[in-house]
Amino acid sequence: MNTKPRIAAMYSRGTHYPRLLRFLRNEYPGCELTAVVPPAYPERLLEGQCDRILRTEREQYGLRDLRAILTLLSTLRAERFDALVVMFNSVKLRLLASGAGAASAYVFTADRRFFPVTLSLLGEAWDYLARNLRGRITYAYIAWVVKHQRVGK
Amino acid sequence: MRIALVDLMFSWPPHGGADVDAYHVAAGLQSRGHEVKLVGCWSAGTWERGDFDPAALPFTAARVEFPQGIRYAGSDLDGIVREVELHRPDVVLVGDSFFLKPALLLRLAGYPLVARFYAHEVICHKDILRYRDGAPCRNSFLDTPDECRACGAEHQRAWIQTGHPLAWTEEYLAAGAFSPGYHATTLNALRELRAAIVYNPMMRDLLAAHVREVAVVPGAVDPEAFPYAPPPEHPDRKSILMTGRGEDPAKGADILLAAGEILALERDDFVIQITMPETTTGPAWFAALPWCDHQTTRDRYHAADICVVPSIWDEPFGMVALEAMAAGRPVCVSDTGGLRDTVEHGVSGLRFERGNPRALADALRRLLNDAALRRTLGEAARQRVEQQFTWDRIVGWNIEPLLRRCARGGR
Repeated sequence: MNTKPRIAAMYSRGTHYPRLLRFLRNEYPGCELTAVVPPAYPERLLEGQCDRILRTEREQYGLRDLRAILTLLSTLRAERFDALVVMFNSVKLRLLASGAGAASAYVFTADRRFFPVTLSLLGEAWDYLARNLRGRITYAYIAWVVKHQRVGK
Repeated sequence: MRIALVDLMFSWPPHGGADVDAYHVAAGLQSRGHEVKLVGCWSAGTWERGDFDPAALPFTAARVEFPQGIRYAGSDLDGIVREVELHRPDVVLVGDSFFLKPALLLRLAGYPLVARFYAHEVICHKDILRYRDGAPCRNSFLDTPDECRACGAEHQRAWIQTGHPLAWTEEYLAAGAFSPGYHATTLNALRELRAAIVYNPMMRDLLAAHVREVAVVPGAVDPEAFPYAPPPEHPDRKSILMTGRGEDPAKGADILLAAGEILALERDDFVIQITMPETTTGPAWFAALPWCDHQTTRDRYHAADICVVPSIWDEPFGMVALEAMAAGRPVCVSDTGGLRDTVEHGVSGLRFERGNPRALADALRRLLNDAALRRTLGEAARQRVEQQFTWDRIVGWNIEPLLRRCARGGR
């Protein structure tokens, strides 16, 4: 029976995925590290960086790709990872981390901060909606100001 | 002199050319006997700023932290101003920042002020590139504020609506840059400057009507960080390298790929490598290289036969061209912005018409066919860097005299 902690590192289109893998390998040398990467991610870049490669179905996921997202979540849940690490502190990725069934979930940011995802799935969803609502109200105000309050000459 | 360098975007190791510039200017001034303090900041709102350890730098530094993100141009700048006050500077050099630069300058107006403009901050509200719809934009916020406000708001819509702003949008919101009053704030701030430092004459012309003095000072490179190496031996396939943000359309990777298609019709002895997200795919003669640190970048230059900077935007300086030149590589650069001053056509590299893949293909063909030319241009490039573009020279000949003149009691 495999008793090594199983950690999954989820790729997002960003510059610091190799750094994330190196960080996890150094910090948790005894773990089984799985790179969760899209189909086109070159295998040569993962050589020596991880123990397993798990390919996602798609290159990118949008909110409309509900079926594909559910498939991804189901794949991740079946793996029963001890920890899932995502690359950005975005609500979408934190939602994914919360729903992936891993025992714990973390964010590793480009400036090398590493912190746990603490909100529940419901909490993440609420945070996402609240941010979007606030953002849309802010933008509506900005658009109004730009259109109706001119600098002139 | 006691010098405060305020840079709201600073990170070390560097995230970009502006960080390299700020670091070497601060270190160069310090090594010349001045008391330098760099004031940077970290914001929880974005990963782009403040990724540095003040204790690990060779000069005094402070990092002001914003755990809630930067939200107000007024009170949020208090911590920055306080760190400057603690240093009691004779002159303040304001480095990289975006929409907060005017507010910062006004808050520091009691000191003699000099500001470094790295790209088109203050001029463009869309982004620092001043590049729109596939071509350089000719508007300037200083002269066409309402057009630029509309463009800026439109292009930042997604970042604002989703509540996940990057540093550019974080500062846009904090500074209220969408408001009509921001234009007057910007003009007033520019009037407070004793001098502005820019990379090239085009940028000087944009600011000249609004700032007392505008000095054109190029960037530089540390020749020891990018040592000369003889050309690599690739008998089968020559390596053509483009480093930097390859996925940014303004950087012109499409032009290089189009030139590659032209060359691929006649030969198969080359591979084009571009720094891009790892998942980018393309023809057999193309390879995406993941982003990397400074050390790996140096190794990539050494492994390359030719380096290309195919920028379509008005590249202010083009640090990557200079790094490749220092490493002794022949460069092919767009005839634009600061690259015109860095590369002498036919002597220390080749320049080609901006946005023209056929012209780039012609230049690459010349280099691919002629090993002696590659070697000659690479050696001349290294020599040019050593003679004209070292930090010692730029700081000693340009920055230090300018700061002396502008400093309190200076002449």
